[in-house]
Amino acid sequence: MNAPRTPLNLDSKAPDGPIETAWDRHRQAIRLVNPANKRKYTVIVVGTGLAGASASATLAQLGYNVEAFCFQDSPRRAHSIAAQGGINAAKNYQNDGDSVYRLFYDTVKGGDFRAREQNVYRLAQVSVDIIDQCVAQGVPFARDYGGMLANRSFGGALVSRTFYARGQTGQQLLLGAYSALSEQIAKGKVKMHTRTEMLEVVVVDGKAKGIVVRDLRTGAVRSHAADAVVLATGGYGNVFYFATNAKGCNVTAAWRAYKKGAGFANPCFTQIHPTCIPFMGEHQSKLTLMSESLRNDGRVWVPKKQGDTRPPSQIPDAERDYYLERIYPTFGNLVPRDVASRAAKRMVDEGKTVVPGGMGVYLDFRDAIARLGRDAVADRYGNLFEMYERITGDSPFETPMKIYPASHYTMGGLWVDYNLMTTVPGLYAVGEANFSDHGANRLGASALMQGLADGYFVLPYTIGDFLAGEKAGFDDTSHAAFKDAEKAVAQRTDTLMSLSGTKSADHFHRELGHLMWEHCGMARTKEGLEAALPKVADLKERFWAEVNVPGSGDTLNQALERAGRVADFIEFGEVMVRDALTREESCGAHFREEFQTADNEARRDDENFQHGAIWAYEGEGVAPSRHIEPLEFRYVKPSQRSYK
Amino acid sequence: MKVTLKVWRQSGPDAEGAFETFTDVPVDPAMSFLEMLDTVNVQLEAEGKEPVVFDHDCREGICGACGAVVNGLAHGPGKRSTLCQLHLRSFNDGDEITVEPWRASAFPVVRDLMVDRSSFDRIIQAGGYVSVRTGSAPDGNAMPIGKPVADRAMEAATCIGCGACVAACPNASAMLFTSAKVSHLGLVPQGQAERDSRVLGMVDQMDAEGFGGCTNHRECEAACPKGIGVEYIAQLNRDLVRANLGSAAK
Amino acid sequence: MNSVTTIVHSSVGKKVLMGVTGLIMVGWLTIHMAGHLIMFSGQDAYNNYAHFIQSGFGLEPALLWGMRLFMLAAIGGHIWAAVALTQQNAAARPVAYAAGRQNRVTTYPARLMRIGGMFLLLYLIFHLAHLTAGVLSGSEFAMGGKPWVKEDAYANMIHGLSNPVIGVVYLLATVALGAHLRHGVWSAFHTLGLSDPRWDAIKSGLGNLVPVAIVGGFVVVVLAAMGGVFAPPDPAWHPPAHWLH
Repeated sequence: MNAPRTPLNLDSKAPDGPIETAWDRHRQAIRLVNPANKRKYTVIVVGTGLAGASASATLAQLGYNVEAFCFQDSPRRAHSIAAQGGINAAKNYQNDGDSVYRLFYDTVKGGDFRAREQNVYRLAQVSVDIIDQCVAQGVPFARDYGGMLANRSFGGALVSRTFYARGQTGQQLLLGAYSALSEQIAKGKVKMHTRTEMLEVVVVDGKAKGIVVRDLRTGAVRSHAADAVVLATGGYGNVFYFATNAKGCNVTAAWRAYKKGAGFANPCFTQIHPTCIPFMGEHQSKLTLMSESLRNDGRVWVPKKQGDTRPPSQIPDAERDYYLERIYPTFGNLVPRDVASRAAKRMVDEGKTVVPGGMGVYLDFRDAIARLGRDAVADRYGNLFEMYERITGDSPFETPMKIYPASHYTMGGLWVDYNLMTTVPGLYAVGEANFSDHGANRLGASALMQGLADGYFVLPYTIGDFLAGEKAGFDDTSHAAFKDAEKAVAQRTDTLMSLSGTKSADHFHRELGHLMWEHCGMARTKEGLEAALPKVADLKERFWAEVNVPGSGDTLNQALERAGRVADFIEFGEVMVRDALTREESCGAHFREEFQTADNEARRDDENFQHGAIWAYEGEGVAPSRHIEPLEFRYVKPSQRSYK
Repeated sequence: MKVTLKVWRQSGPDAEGAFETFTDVPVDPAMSFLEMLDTVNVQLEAEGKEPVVFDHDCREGICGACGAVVNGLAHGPGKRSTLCQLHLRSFNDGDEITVEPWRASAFPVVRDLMVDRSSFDRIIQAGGYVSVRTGSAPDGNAMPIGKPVADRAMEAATCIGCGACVAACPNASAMLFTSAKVSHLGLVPQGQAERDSRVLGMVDQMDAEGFGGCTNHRECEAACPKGIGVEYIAQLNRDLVRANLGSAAK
Repeated sequence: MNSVTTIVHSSVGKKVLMGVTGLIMVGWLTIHMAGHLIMFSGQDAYNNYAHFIQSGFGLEPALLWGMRLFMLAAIGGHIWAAVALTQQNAAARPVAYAAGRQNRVTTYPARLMRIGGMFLLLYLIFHLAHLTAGVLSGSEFAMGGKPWVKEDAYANMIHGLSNPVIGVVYLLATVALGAHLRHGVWSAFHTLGLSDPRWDAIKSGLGNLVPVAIVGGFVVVVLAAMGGVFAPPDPAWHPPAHWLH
């Protein structure tokens, strides 16, 4: 490991003192921008998912001018839209003992003690405001017959605190944020740039002052200046190629920020979601998630006998292994995602797969249908069952679903302080793009909560602390930093266009995905990770020699877009492997086979790894440097997680 | 199994377009329609030819990005399905499949199968929201909403904005899209304060974008991947009349 | 914006205008059809009914012209809205699908609204000339060579339908009307905003019942006239003296 060239400023700015009042005291302490002056400031927001759309709308309501960007044709299409199950909030409407403290506790524990306590507490606090805000926007949450909001339970929790809108909660919340954004666009406070991809962050005198983008319609490269830049650009789960992410999800924005000095935290914390439709063949382009809420009523099992090829209906109960209920009697089928995923992998590794020649376990609704009736089951999961049938041709009413874990969410991301600012002053990261709240494993229904917490209730206040110290109205896109960034973008495009290999970018992406899944997926080993490093380097070399990008750079060119993103994923893959290799413990979703308990659970090493690992760019061809932010647990005492 | 594909190619908004034929494309019945286009594109890219341009993202039928008219049907022959959820098992070996973009003056072609649907965004900007400042909301349970009303609002709110309703309509009308948002917010109590201005603004914008009128063929409902029904169009009509009577009375 | 400009201006407003004018015509058609059934009660009864209408519903002859102008306005509004919407719809898809657009659910009545409407307009002009204005009085082809007599509507009807070709034209028009109403009545209710599920039964009930009743009534009368079911008109029939005041 190299000595870092420039030390990163990893001051978390998280308030000391009683955690219950930390956020209030912090808001009291930070600087505010005079209401009359807000309109003199411009903020760039990249990405229009839950975090980006809610931040853009709220900043505009406060009076700031917002320039919002998305690569999709409309801000309504960001991948938040695909979240199915729900959103957590400590409302305790069910009177089942929930509280802000309990949500905080569950989240810290669920994250296997690798998140910053103050951030998580704040998240739990504002969770209740999110529900109120969304209801007021008209989000049609499920309700009971009395007209009150309904809840369901989710993995990793013993209370019902998940609010939902059928199996389309992410869609409804995103459309709520999108409508708030639309209102501000109509009012002229937000200028929306669709089909525009951010390709550089521009740093002027050490502060983020703009971005360089490529207009995907025309290929034109443009600069946009502002007083601060917010990245709401999502996660990097597509590094595995086969993932539940949308095809467009990519690491490019975060990666370019990293190369401009933003530290990248815990890249190896990638969540593998236990209930996805199994991989069925190379023709597939992605994997599809089936909501975790299915585990509320579905029972997970495999045949007790290895290589049992009987159809499920012919396997009597005595010959079935309901392994989650057997191993974890308290939580049963509702254990957290990482636990459920690894258990499925163990069953398959033992030869008990239910997908001949492949990998999968059953998720069975037979008993739920018998207990509740077909209609009640259809009411809860009808659209999910339909979706499953459309893809596989099988009806879960007739035969158990086949499921298997797949890459889904990334807890790692750009390091941010308590104000959500990265290590580059003026550059913020919100939502899945940052690393802040989930530690080493995210609980179900908490991604939507965090995205909206950041966008509606945290960033719009904390960004004022930075802006108040800045002279308003930076708009100098002729500055040398912008010209250099534009040149870098143009050069990269030219290089990609000039290659005349024989393979599509997709080819390399699949290869990278296979490599990462094999060596840096659900279970990792020192040997595997060490073997992966030269393979990634080799892949990078071959990519830049053998890829072919047809067409031209100054027009709409989807092949070029893909190639640019794949190139960044390959570079990122290296850092992810390095992170997994250096973290010599198992925690949450990061499972190193060398570090496990006697009953195959993750074994943390709090003495040596109770910290966030932050990677800093040290230049082309130079290994990145690793820095740490030590974590302190004053409230939730680290313990071996047990869901038995 | 093999199919022959006739795909619309058009290099830009103002360029002339034409069908390009790809014969004997090898496909798997378990493949999705977009995965078939991927296969064609990987081949094209490897040959140094420009891939077929099409919008797509989640490939789970929820983002609303994908869509094309397949053998004359918006999103193809599937029932309540987006193009990404259409699988090749819906076709037979040797079939000839024609693929072309949504056609409407309010959805100009960008390139190949990609169209510009920003007109939908502008319709929403014309009133498809509840004006509520972040932080000013009352408790979520302060206003009970009966389950039947909440369910009907949810039905309407499931619209994914894909544009299939416009593509399938003989008149290229956006009434189903517009009415879904008008109805979603018009049904719930939160949407009442702006109910009149919303429907007036959104219908105005819909007409200004150049969409056609509704002649009740119900092709939109049949093509809608979310099965949103034309009863919401009736509700929009009623709300518009109501809003006008209201403004005339003032 | 007030309600009048919205109707002129917006596509939905034009549809509302079509629905309202259409329902006015449906109401008028229902009365017209019911009146025709009086043919079965004989020459005196039917001519009495005709006179009741012609005399301005027994009140004031000017009322008849008021009624006619009202109906003319309804027809005019209906046609204007149809033309304006057709133009808007054509402009909304200037480039047609190269491989053709397939329908999934729409019906022939719905698809034939424009052409059917135009046919009905031509028929209406003919019908008014034929039996209301008596333009073809004495024509061998259209009136069986008999004169058209304003007060003897019964005889006019029987003579007017004595040629099977004319009868078939009337039957065809009736079928076209039925098709137009089959889509039109449901559409009108829909456009006027009957969206609540409670109204579904009424909407589809009336949507089916109204066309069947109206077409049924007319077809019975035309077939009866063609088949000689009605007693031949008494050539000596004269209007009562007090009608002439």
